Amino acid sequence: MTVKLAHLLRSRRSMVRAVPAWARFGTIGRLCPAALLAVACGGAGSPFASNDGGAGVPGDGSAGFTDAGAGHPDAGFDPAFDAGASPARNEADLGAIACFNGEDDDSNGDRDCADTSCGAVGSCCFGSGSPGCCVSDATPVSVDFATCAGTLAECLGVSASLFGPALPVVEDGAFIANGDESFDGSALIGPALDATSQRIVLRASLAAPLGGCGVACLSSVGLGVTSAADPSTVGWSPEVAVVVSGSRGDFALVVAGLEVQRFRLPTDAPAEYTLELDPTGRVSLSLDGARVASDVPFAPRSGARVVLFGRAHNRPADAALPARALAISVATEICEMPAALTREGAPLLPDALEAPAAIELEGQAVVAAVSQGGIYLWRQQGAGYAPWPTDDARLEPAGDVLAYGSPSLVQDPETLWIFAQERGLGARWVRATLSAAGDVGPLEALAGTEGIEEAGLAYVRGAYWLVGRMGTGAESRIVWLVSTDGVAFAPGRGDLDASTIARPRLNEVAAFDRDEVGAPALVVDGRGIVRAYYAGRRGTRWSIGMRAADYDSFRDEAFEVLGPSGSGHDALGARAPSPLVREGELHLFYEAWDGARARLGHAVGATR
Amino acid sequence: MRLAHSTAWLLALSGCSLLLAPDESKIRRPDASADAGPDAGPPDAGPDGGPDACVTRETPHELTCAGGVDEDCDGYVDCADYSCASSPECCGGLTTPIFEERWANPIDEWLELGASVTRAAGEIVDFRTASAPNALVYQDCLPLDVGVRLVVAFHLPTQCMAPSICEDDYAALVLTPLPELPAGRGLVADVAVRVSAAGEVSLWRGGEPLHAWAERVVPGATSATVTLELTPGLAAGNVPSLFAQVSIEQPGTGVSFTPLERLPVVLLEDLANARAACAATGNPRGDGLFAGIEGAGDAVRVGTLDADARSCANPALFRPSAALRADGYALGAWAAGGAGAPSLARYVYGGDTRWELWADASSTPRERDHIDFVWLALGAQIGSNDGASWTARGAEGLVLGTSPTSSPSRREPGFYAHVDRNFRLIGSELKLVFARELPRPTADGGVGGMDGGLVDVTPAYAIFAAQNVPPAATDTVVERLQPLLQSSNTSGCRSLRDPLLLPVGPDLSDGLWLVFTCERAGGQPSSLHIAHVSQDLTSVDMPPQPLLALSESFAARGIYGADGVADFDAGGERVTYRLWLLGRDAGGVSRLAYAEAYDQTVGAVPELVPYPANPILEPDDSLLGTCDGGCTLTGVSVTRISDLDLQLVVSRSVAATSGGVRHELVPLLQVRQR
Repeated sequence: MTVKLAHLLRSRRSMVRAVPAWARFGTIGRLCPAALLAVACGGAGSPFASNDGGAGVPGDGSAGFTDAGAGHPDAGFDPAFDAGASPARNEADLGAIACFNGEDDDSNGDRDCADTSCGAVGSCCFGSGSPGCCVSDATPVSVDFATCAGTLAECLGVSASLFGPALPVVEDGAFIANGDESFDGSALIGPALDATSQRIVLRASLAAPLGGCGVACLSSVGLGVTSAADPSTVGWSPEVAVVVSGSRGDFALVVAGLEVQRFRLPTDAPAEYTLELDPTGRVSLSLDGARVASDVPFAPRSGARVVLFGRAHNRPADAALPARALAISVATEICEMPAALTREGAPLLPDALEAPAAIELEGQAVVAAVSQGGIYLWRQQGAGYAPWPTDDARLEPAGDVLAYGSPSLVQDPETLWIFAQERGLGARWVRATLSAAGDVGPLEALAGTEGIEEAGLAYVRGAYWLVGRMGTGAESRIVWLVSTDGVAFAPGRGDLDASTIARPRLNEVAAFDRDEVGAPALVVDGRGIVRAYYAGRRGTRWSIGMRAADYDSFRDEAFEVLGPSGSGHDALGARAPSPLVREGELHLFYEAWDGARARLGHAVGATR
Repeated sequence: MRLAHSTAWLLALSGCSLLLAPDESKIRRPDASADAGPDAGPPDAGPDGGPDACVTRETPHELTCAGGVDEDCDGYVDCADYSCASSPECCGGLTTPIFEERWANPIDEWLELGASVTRAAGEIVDFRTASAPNALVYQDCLPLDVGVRLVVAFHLPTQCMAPSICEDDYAALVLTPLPELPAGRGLVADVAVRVSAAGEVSLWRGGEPLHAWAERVVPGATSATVTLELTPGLAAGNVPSLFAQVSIEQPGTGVSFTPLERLPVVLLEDLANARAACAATGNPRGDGLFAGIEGAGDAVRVGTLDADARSCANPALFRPSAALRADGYALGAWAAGGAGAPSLARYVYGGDTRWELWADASSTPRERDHIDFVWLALGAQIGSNDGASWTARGAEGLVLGTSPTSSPSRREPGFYAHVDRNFRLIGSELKLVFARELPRPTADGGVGGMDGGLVDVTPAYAIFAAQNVPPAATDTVVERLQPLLQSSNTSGCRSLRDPLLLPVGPDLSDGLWLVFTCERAGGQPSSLHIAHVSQDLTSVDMPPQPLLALSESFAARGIYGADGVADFDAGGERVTYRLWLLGRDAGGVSRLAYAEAYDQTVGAVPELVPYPANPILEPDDSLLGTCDGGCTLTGVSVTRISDLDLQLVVSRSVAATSGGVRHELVPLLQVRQR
């Protein structure tokens, strides 16, 4: 296969070699990845020249994209890996840009993220469940019943729950399901999993006697995932499972209670069964390492748990052990699935509020929002939020100022800032310091933000990035501006047209952002990937979408991440997103619209 | 399921497709290529050169829906063309008045939002403040699944002479998902027709105009009548949408407004956001919008306002069944594990109209199949016309199989009654096909051996037929020992399921179509295939060939379980096949879908076109009853009960919250436009 891009996370040696290629494209200083500037790009004219990462890149320090330990396997410079590159454009020279430029650089028919060689590039991993795009997120759970001397509950640990008319047990070093004629015996193991964002690998050593188990006898054991609170419901529960049946003398891949494929048990000796569940909704089954079923569709759900289940009913007294599990293991990886968000069923605060902005301060979330033209702050307090520091507005209209709107909270290496739009006879963008006590400093006007109606800001690798909405309706667009000092902003890619990252998709009837875009916001995740969240309107319904950027090119691919729920506080719309990444979770605060009033909504998802 | 019902329906070929209007450019046409001439493609509804002759193939869709011309040369004329099916002129007469409002006291059916408006002499004469609109919203959500026509009179009594006073005045007819007025704003308008104090008329969605007319309403004594037609249809990309069509008249003024062609204004998917509010008003399906009148100031008055339900064709519209009550239907102990795969027919025999409902069932809970051997058998009962009493075929309704059920499984009966247009059984032509399990592979391999010694023992089925199905319930049904069709007769099918018989012609001398589910190895999506079989079900006259496969997400694991009806024209030369089938998604949940082979030459292999807005019925639809801990459809059967009406029975499995799985048969009715 011709390789388009070896890997973003190459050795610095390969990064250095990438510079001439960019120079040939004439884009140095514009397209130069910020993370690489310290090594190869530099230049006072670059908005990225100040430093790499910094406090605005939580958890990644200065390493940014070049940190091989950030989660991607670093292939290093591998001549063999590059051997198939186009002679005209050496793979190493192509570098990261090749995954961002919208071209099929190696002429293999695939462009950018569609090219497998770009597959593990950070922003290409959004929506992908491939192993290279997912990272281990928990210590694997492993239970060896043969060496466990305790009860089943003790073997499985405190997070297990047992069900069934006759509870499952450990017997002769194996899990025996018990159950009865109508109900499985079962054990829910470990914490809840989110099959919509996690890659789940289940392994089990299972065995069953051949030749059935006698008249009216039931003998089976299975391992899978279920969303059911009580998985004993006959045959219905597992979303996905491998089921070994001694009664039938076979094993089957079962999806949503329906067998997909069934094989005769080759032997009554234990065999290792492996289920691999991909969050995009594909499952594969292997037997002793050999794949027996591949890419079978299933429906991933959140809140799923691993279930070990089966029947051992009417066992003849002199019979050998029934279908049983000798050992199991569960390994999970977190993948970047933008729409895998769980929304809270009630507004964050009871008040009518608009345009939230969130940041983490000293381990707690602080949220700014607009009410009647003033900007107020709340700080996380236990499970709820309390006004911070007082009930008073932090920015309150007075004199010629009629209202403040569209706040952003930005932490640079030294200062916490509040940015907002000030509206009076005209409109301007301002910023002020926000002290640890919640006090707002003097206002300072921004420059270069004319025409921006709504905006979100973030501190990204030594620069202030601003995404703002210009225009309305079909003429609306989201533009990207940058500033090295947080005051004077300029288009991120030369001019506003080149810096436009989203427009209404007028010709896509069902696109969530068909009629208008607006209310953008930025966040930098733990890998240094910048995500621009924004609102999109179709008819009268607002939804929230996301576009990602590893470097200074936002991808064309838009993910719809949150839409109207049809009931409650966000029945008719979700708008004005404010993302916050903390402790491996993405918290999305948003303006929830029920058709009559706006309140603050909150949704949470996992992130790598 | 698997009922074929053939009658010589006098179908008016110029009208009445069940289908909504899809994006015709995306529809897989029967004659998508290699059409040599203007009329050589799909069946033309009439003689060449006649009024339905096509005129140019350059037109991508039908230009007019009442002109009798096949402008796009796809063989479908006017209302029979998919692109016309939801046009108002193809939506039948005005059948159900929803309200006729004259603004006389009292107006209890309207919710007053904001300040109360002033009414006088049959008009709303003052919306009060001009700074913020006030509104009236009709209390009941308008169901939109078969279309709605709203007619409203706007009246400008005088010219607005002082723009500073009245230039912001307006009145509007609004369709909103929520009967609430946001503070300081107008209703959330999914679609609105607005008349300003200056007489400007415009169509709005949300806060922006979609269209503004160049013509203006003339002030004076005469009202302008605005007609807003809202019909379901399919926008570009086959996206189910609500279309708006507006016409305006102001008699006696000499002003002529340009009619607005149909415009997609709301995705039907987005109507679901209003479901909670809508369902609270008694709309059983819960998808619709609220009609409201909104305005500011007193420059524009609102007179009469009428709303009528249209009857656009909509295959996704079902009604509770009054024609068949299945609650008295019960098989014996041999079926204690649950019944499914219904196959229904209605026919007149011996002067009595009777139902005959077949099903498969097991004495073992059928959901236990993945851990135990669950054998299925076939049973049937014959019901009285009102469905109140049922007579079992065989002991306890068990026809083919044993009690308790045992190997081999017989499942998915396809019962066929050949009747005339008065439902009289022709001769004794009752037929039965079914899927029967084949012997499992032997221990040393047999079928499906894999590398590494694994033996695929996924159950495999072939299609079998009964030698006879006597009308008398007491007579024995005998099955043939040799399969009618098996996997070796096919290309790529490892198992054949869900047989369905459909007539090739008005009488059975032309044989029958055998439609079946082709199951593939490795969990690959199943599809429908078709073969031609002899009248006596002893030979296959045309080898099986693919009939239909779907790739949509609701059918990620394939389609299966088709049932259908055949409608022949009066001359017996053309036929329309309508098929209902199930699509199984990645989560194992099955939904009902629809496909149609419209107006084809008798004897030609049906060319099915799937309804683009499939699926048409969800397993948790409120019409089917509670879904408890989850549910899925498992089968469907359809039979005609009149020229226009169809009786369906769907089978459904429901996970009971108390544990266990409930298998149920649910009758439904589908009424076509009248």
